[in-house]
Amino acid sequence: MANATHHINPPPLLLGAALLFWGWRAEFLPLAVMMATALEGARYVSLRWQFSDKDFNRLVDLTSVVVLAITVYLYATRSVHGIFILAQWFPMLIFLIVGTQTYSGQGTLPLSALFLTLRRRKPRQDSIVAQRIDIRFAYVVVCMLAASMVTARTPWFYVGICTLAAWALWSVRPRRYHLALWSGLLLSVIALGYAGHLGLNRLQVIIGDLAVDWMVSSERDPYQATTAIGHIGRLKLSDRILLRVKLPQQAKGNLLLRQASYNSYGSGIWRAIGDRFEAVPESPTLGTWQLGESGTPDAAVTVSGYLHRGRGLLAVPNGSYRIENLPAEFMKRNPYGAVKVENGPGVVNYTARFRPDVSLDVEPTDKDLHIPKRYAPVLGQVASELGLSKEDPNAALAALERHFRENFRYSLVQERQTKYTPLADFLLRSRSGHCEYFATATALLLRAAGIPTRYATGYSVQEYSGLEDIYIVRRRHAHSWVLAYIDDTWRDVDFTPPAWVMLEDQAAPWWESIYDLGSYIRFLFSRWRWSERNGQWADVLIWLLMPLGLLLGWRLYFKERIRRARSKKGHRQPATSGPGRDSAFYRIVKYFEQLGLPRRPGETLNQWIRRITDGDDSAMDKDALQTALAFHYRHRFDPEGLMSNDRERLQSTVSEWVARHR
Amino acid sequence: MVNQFLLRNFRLVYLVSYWVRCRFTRAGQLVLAAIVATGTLGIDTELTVAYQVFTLLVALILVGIISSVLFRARFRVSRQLPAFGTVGEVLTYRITVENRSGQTQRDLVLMENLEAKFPSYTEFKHIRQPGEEKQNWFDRMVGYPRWAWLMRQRRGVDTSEYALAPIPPGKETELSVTVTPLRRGYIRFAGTVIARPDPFGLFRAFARTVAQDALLVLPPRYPVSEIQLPGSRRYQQGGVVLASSVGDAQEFFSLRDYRPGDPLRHIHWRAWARRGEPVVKNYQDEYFVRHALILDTFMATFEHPVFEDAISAAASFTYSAQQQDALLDVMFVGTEAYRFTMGRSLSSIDSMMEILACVEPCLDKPFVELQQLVTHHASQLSGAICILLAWDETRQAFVKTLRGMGIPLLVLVVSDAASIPDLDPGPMADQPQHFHPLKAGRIEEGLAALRIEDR
Repeated sequence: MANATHHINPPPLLLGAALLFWGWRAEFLPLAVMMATALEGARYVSLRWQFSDKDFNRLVDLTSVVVLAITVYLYATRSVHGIFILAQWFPMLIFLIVGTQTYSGQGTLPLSALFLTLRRRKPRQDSIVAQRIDIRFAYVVVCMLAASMVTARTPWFYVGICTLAAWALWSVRPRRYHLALWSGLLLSVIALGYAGHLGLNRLQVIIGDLAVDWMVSSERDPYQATTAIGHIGRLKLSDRILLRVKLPQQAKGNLLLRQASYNSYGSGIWRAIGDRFEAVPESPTLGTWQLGESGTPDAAVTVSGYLHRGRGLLAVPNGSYRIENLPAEFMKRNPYGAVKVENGPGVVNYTARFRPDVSLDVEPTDKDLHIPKRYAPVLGQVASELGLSKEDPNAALAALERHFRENFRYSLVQERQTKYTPLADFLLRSRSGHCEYFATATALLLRAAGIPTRYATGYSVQEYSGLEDIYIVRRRHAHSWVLAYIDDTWRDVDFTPPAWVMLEDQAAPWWESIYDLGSYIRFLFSRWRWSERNGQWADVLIWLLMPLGLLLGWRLYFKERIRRARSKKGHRQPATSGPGRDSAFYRIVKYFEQLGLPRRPGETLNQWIRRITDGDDSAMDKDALQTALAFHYRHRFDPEGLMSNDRERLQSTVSEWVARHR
Repeated sequence: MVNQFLLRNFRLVYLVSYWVRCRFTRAGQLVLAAIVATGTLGIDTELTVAYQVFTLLVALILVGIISSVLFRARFRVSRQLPAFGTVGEVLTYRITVENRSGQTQRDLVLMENLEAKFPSYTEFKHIRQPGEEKQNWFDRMVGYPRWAWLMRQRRGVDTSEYALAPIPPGKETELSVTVTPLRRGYIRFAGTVIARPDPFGLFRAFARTVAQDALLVLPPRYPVSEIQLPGSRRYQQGGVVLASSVGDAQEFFSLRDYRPGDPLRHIHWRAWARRGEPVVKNYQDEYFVRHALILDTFMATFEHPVFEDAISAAASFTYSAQQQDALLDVMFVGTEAYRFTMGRSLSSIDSMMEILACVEPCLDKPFVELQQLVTHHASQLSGAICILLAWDETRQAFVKTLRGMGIPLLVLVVSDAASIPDLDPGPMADQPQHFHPLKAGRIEEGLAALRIEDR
């Protein structure tokens, strides 16, 4: 019978080449050289060890425990990105198994070593249990995969992958095909793969852009802010806690945390027109990002919150020059002060250092003075009524502040439309609205007074939580205000009546405190899960993992030993009694065992001897062996036993055989 | 609801995995696994360069799939199967493959296509995999290992892929296949698949052939001694009909006066001469030993090892009974109540073994059906061997009824319960030597011990 499921040896040096390729890409080259030498060296070294199936089981268990521990550690410290690191380390982690297989007398692994369920089955029940596998080809693939787990790009990577693939495929190709056809097909595959990966990359960029736009717009869009100006009815704002803020000591609440600012207004939408996002280089200190020059006086605010899929806009005070303790892969900022992070953890707890008197936003341009024509008449009218023009900026600010404070009120409810535009209605008729009305009106009126302004969106920090001993920011604390360029810097100007806070708090539901408790628990859990590498939780976890690993190892090792010790006890009785225990044939058994050809569990002597003799081409006296075995069987199992002359014959056959083969 | 949904998914998973195993070579399966890994890890092309490996591997498989369309060879396949096999015993058969295309075909592998119906929801629910209690919680709850085991059982044998030697056009090649049947009954071969790998040796093109065959697999049989039940011969209705082959019809019993209608050949001429009146020979009526083998097939949930061991025990008794000069009725309930009679050239051991090979458990009928069948024929029975799957009140009452009818019994209870050795004999308390609890999984041992006790 010709069974097609035989093992194919990898061609010489393929394993070493795959390891070196991995070492080069993953920057483990010295280690890879050692590993490659060890594996390829096996071809030139005849040294082999005889491992039992149980040894292989233990080795695989040990590797599994190590992989599991490292997975937990990497997930705890690097979140999902830890998976990529794990994949990158994989050739290293399973090297012990491959090395053991290579240097084992058998040259293969029992399949049951890899699957716990198979270990419980008896070989007689299931032929699959007795199967053995060669994992070296799989190891080549693992090396190729691990080599691909790096961000850095080089065209040589594809070249390397193609070479390794061609090398491996060459050794398993059906011999039926002509070399030219095979090479031609392989070249087309390489070309197809190349075109495919370029296309895939392009597709990812397009989808990524779309996804980022969608995700950011669900939170805050740095390019435009659609206001609720012109909408009628009551604004519904959620109580969800978004941020937890630790204010600087001197601050007594009411800090504005900005996410984005915009310079152009029209039809209820503020837009950021001009420069796009640029990457912020990460400082040598992990998680520290320098946005601008530091200086004094300065202050620091610590903000904790969630990042949806590791991306989002940071809420930072105006004048922030450094972000600390924010482990992320990328940070980008636009000239209007919006700071975006990508590939960060799901929960962040960063510190923003800022200078209250100096803004880092780009200097004003014409856009920051532009008033849409549609609103020019009404704005001009109000500005002139207040006498805003031609006055010094500070006086204009004071006049406007007084005007809003004395004549306007805060309201989340908008009545039906009148003949005016919504903004004109707010300024001239209703004189009530929410923060977006106040901020838009302030920005445009100050522009009418010749002061450059921008519309800022973010959060107002004002609610203190006794439960958490920290300021909390809910979704309903989302706020908009104005950045006015006064005294050569951008200053926060917020003329929304302070009553807005009270009014919005009144809208809070009765179950808010219960909700807050749940939110706090969720936050604590998330923070623990996402705690940074140098965070205390991660350390605790590692210390927890170590005894766990030790315990597992102990269990794996000693459980077997106990079972073995017990079984030894159980077997002692028949070992000393029973007929034929003194058989001379045991000398041959010992001889083969010393040769490293042990009897497998459940294998009869006959099967064992046949296995040895079948695979042996040397001049072993197989007939004498069979004769001796037949005598031995009779000695052991024939109720009549062996006659003394037969016993002598057994003795002499064994002695002759052993003497001849020693 | 959830289980039915899972069951549907099992079918899908099974079909997909079967397809993958047949269509892809070992190297191809490795490439497929790498595609899944790179597809998962390389989904973000900005994060890693795994997508480059992914596209290369996908291109490799694509080329393989396209090239498989070009394989248009035709073959004729025939099998030479043995008359029957036995569960757990290795058997060898031959396959002849004829190349009917105009080219020499190389690098071929042959795979057997075995018929295996998917288990229904009820079957899946009632059948328990041996050793299922040792599985982990998840496997037990979800049940995929049970499904996989059921499908393997239904296929009946584990076949592999067999490499074929190159076949020139119009020529044949022969292949010897060794398999070990996993279950009794008919194993049905639907055809074969002859596969050829693509130029990279990853994906296989198929040429399917129809070659329908059935192989009968008998239950394992173990040595049992002749069981001497203290029963007497019984008058067998219809015995005259059977007299040509069974019974003691030719045995002279006595003489009596002639009655009109007596056949002339029965006249005892010498006595007539002595007495002067016609006297006829009186022959013995049809009395002979008739044993019943009553096989219990009733189970609430199908315990595979218990049932199989009971069948094995029945087969072993039937096998040993062929050498005895008695009739043996095998009685059980399947889709209906059955009684098959063997012995004294009535029916051959082969056909009886075939019947036992095909006995299915009865999950939907009450035990009383078997009781009715047995009591209906009880008057003819000299003795009975009851192979029971439990020792509950119903079965004890059944045994009591039979004993009440004066039928000597040998009761064997096959069970995998831990308490089996200490089973209370109940109605058999006065004849403990005829009551034998047998532990499932150690039936051979149990039957051997039976022999020793009865000697």
